[in-house]
Amino acid sequence: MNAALTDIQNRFFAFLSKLEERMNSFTNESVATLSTLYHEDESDHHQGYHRLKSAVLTQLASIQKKADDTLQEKINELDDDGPWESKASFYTLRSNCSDRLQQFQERYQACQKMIEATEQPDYETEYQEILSAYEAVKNQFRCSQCGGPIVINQLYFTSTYITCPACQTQNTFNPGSRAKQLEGLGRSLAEQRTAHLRQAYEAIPSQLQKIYNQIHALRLSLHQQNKTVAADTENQIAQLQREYDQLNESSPGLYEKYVHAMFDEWNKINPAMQAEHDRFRQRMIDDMYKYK
Amino acid sequence: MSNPLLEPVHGVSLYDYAAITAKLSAGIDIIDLCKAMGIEPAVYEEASAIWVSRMQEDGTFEVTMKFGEYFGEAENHPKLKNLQVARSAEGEANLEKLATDRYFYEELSGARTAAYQYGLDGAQWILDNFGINLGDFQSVAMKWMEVQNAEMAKGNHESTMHFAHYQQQKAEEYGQKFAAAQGGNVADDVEF
Repeated sequence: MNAALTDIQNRFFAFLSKLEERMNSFTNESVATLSTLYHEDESDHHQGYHRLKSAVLTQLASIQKKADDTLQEKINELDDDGPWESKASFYTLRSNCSDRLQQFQERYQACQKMIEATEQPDYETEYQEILSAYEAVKNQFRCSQCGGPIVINQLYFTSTYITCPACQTQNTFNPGSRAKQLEGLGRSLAEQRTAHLRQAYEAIPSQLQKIYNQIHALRLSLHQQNKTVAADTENQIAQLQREYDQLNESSPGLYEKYVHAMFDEWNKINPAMQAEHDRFRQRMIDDMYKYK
Repeated sequence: MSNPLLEPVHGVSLYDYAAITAKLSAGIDIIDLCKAMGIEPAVYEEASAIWVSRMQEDGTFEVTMKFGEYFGEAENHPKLKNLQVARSAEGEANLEKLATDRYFYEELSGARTAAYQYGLDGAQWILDNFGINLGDFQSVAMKWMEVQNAEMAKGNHESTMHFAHYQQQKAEEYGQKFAAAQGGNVADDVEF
C-alpha cells in the first residue's frame, strides 16, 4: 500500500483503538455499578437494575454503530479509482480494515457478555425467604370468629378459604405478598436447579456440527489417498457417522429428561399447581416432537 | 365452547380476567375491581393463577390470543367499564388520538422503546408527557395489533412494513433526544 492508503489504515486502526479503550473503561465501570445495584435494588423484579442495564447496553451499541458507520463512510465508500498505486492495494486496505473491525466486534460482544453476567439471581435464597415469611404468617393465623389457632398443613400461594375446626367459621387465609410470588419464582428456581440437564441437551447441535466437520474433512481427503489408506479413512467416516446418528437420536431423550427434571422440581417447590404444571410439561414435550 | 381451556375458572371468564388485568395495569385497585365483579380477592387470585397456567399449557395459543383480544375490549366490559382512573383533559385527547391516528400510535411506541433503551421507565415517561397510563396504552396497542393482523391476512405487507419503519425512525429520533438530554452518548467525542 502507498503512503496515502497506509495513512488511512493507521487512522482507522487508531480510531478503533480509542473506541475500544472507551468501551473497556465504560464496561468496567458499569459492571461494578450494576453488580452492586442488582443486589441492592429491592424494587419488583429489579426494575431499577434492568433500566440501567438497558441504558448501558444501548451505549455499547452506540459505540459499535459508530465503528460500523465509520468503516462504511470512511473506507468502503472511498472511490476505488482514487489516487492509489493499484486497485489491489485499495482492496487490501478494505480487507485489513474489515478484519480490524471484526476484532472490534468480538471485543464488543465480550463487553455485552460482561454486562449480562452482572445479573446473578439467587433464587435459592429468595425461596428460603419466602418459606420463612410464609411460616411466620401461617403460625399467626387465627379464626376471626372464635380466635382459636388454625393449623395450616400445606403451602398456599394464593388466598384460600379455610374452615375453623373449632367453630366452623369460614376464614380467608392470606399467605402474604412473598408467598404469592412462589409460582413465578418456582419455575426460575427449578430451571436453575436443572440447568446442567438443559445445557447437555443444548450442546448437541454444536457436537453434531463438530462431527459433521470431521466427516467432511475426511471425505475431502479421500481423493488424495491410495486404496489402503482410503479404506481406513472410510472406516473412520463410518465410525463417525454412527456417533453422529447416536447423538442425534439421543436428543429428544435428553430434552425429555431435562423437562421432566425441571417440572418435578417445580412441583416440589409449588405442589399446589402440580396438575397444571403436568399439563404444561406435556405440552412442552408434544411441541418438541411437533416442531422437531 | 369447543376448547375446554376457555371455560370460566370459578366463574371468572377469560374476558373477566383480561379486563381485570387491563384495569389493574391502568392503576385501578384490585379490591375495587373484585367488588365491581362481585367476587372475593381469594377467588380472583386462584383464577388468575389458573388462567396463566392455561395459557402455558395451550399449544394452540388460542387462550393467549383471546386474552389479547379481550384485553383490548376492557372498556366494554359490562361490570368494569365504569371503573376509570382520573385522566387529564390532555390525556383524554391524546388517548383519543392514539386510538384513531396510527402514526401517533407508532410514534409513541417508538418513543417508549427509546426511553427504555436510555434507562428511563418508558411507561411512566408516556404518562408524564402524554397523560396516557400503561393499561390504556396497551389496550390501544391490542387494537392496532388486530388491524395489523388483518392487513397481514389480506397480504398487505407493505402497510405493515411502512408503519414498522416509521416506528423505528421515531425510536431513533427520540433516542437522539434522550441521549442529548443525558449529555450525549459515551463515545461522541471520539473522532476518526
